[in-house]
Amino acid sequence: MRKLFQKLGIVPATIACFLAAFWVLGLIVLPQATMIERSLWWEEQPADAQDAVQKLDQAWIRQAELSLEDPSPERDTELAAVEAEIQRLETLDTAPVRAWGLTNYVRMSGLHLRIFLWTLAASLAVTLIAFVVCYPVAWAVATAGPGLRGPILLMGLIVPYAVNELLRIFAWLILLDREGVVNTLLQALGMPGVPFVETGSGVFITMVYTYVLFMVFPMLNSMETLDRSQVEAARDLGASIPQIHRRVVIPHSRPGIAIGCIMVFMLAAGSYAVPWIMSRGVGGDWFTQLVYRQFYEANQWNVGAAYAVTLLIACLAFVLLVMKVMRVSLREIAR
Amino acid sequence: MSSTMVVVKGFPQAPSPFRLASAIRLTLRRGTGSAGSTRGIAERSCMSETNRTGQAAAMFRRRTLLGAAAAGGAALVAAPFAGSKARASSGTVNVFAWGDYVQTFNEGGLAKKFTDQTGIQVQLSTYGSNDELENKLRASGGKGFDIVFPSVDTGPNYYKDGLLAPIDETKFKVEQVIPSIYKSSVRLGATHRGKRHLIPFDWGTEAITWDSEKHPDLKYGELSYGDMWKEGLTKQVAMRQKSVLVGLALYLDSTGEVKSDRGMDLVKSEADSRRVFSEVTDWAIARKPIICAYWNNATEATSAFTDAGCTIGQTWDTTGILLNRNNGSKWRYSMPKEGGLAWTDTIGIPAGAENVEQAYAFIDFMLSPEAGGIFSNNTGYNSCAVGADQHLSEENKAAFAMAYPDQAAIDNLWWWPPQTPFFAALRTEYVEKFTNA
Repeated sequence: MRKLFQKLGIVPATIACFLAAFWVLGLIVLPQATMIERSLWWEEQPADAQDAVQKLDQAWIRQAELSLEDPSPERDTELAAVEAEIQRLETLDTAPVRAWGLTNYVRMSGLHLRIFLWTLAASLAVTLIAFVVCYPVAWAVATAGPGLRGPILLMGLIVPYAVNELLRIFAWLILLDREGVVNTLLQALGMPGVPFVETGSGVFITMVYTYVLFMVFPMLNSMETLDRSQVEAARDLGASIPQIHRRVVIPHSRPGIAIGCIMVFMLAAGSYAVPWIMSRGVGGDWFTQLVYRQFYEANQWNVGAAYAVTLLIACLAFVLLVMKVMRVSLREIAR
Repeated sequence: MSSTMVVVKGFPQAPSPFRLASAIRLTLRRGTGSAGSTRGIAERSCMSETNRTGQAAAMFRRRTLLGAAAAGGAALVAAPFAGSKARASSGTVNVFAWGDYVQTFNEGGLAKKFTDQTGIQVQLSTYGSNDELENKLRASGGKGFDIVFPSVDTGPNYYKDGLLAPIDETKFKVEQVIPSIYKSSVRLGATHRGKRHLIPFDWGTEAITWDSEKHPDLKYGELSYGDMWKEGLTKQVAMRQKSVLVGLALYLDSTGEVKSDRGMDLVKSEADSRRVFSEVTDWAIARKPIICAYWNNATEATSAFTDAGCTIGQTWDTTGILLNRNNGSKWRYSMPKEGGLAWTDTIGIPAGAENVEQAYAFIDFMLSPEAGGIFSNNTGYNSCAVGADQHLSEENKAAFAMAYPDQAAIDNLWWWPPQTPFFAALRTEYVEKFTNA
């Protein structure tokens, strides 16, 4: 600490401290902590208390209706009775009790569990497809001559990604919709249309497209550091092209591949906009949509928080798994 | 391309600058308790990082530090944004309205008229469903907006958490609201524990929109929710899951297959509601191939017909009426014989509203006959303002006659009953079962 202050001077060091604290608290600790806290409690209301609350609401509605009516002996007697009932009900204790525990985590229904596992599997598939698509692209860019690399990178990768993600998703919806560009073309050629949106395959296509760049750049970075003479040496020793990639290029670019996979998987598993827009709900839900619905429709924020934390844990597990499989350490990834 | 833009506008996640600003304001306000000591906390937490070693740090000290860090956190997070936006001036009203109302405020000119009359600026943000409104308010503790438009039956969800302020009936012109609607809204959920929280603003229905060229045999009188579930309609039907199950419950009640006391069992008790939802959902799942698209807001409902190729569906009146007006008269909208699902949207003032005086001025303006007429003409919904019918366009009158050909269509409406505590979670459960079957 003192070293930092001596090295930078008081004002810059204070600013650095402030920014570091902002980062740790605001971006890491606070959001996760609130989510975890919320996932650990729920409100309980005994059945008879629920019943009493409902009766009280009904009585108040009747009271309001009666007081808007013209006075008459019958109305007055009923009003008095309703008001007595209200007084009686209001003395009952109906406040919900907050209970703590892990119940929210084990309440996932069979349907939700299936969707959870399916989302993980689908994200994995997106990651694999993105890898297959990106590997040749990254290799082509990494080996392209200096005169060619700039234009390829700019036109092929950076410009499309300067367009807002939502616009790109909607563009794909226009392309793949039931009466969209692709299906119109297919029909014009006398071929049957493909239900991209209805079957959920549109979600896959769009997701691969949307997150491809996050795979390309890390791979490109690590491929560029490969000494070209190693590839030449392998070739001189008689290695075939697949062998060169398997034995030389891939082992060298492991950290890049690992980062790319982790990023694409996390983005896919946590994507809300792509499945929501590209399936119109017809192609089945992704887990993120269930989380959204727990918060925004079912009014069960605590369960929603537990779902969100579960997804986070699954993603962390995936990170560790990838690191193990690719045999890379955190330090290599950070490099 | 223009249609794409509209869709983007309707996307619930799109952050409007105003919403962002209000979120920041909220964070700031929450954090003020410890804002003064922000820097001290920042330094302390930095030090705790480096001095960790060699500290016989007692558990409690670390916890205090953590607590302080957490408390200062909100302030710290907000600090970089401080001063980026001044507080809303006294001459503004922050209106949070349905996406389908936007047109009437902008092109319809209501916002400008209000500003011309009162000098109060309108800050407009939009939502696409009651759930969205409800949970945004819940997230902000009822702050950030001065005017909201919840449907009357969702009132109990707000009352539970104290998100709406009681309405002071001396502060606005009660006589501007059609008296019978004002009175009947009590039974639908506009009051809580004897106090009014919601003022009826407009009403409309969710019923059947269809392409009369593809379905020439459908006509008012014989039209039924069952017409959407007939065989041979593969990939033709648009619907919103959470309300289509209710329409279907009414149909199956009328045929006697699933008795539900004309849908009232859905809110009666958890057991009754579960029985009806479960049987109706199973019935619907067996006929799932008919589904063409689901919608969640008015924009999506329209594009289900214009872009996704649906030919019949259960939609709000605005969708059917505007399709009929803008996309050709083959599009029809009318009430099924089981009764259209009728809603009343109301004006409420959130508990944390800052510009209450302006809010009441806005309520008076919106319920004036002229504003009511403009609103109806633009949206196809029906104003609750006395005398709004004097300002209706011929186009609008024709649309009303198409939707409700006779008095029976109106008398037979099924008004959404006030939601009971278990209803939202239970309905979501069956919506998900249906969606993922």
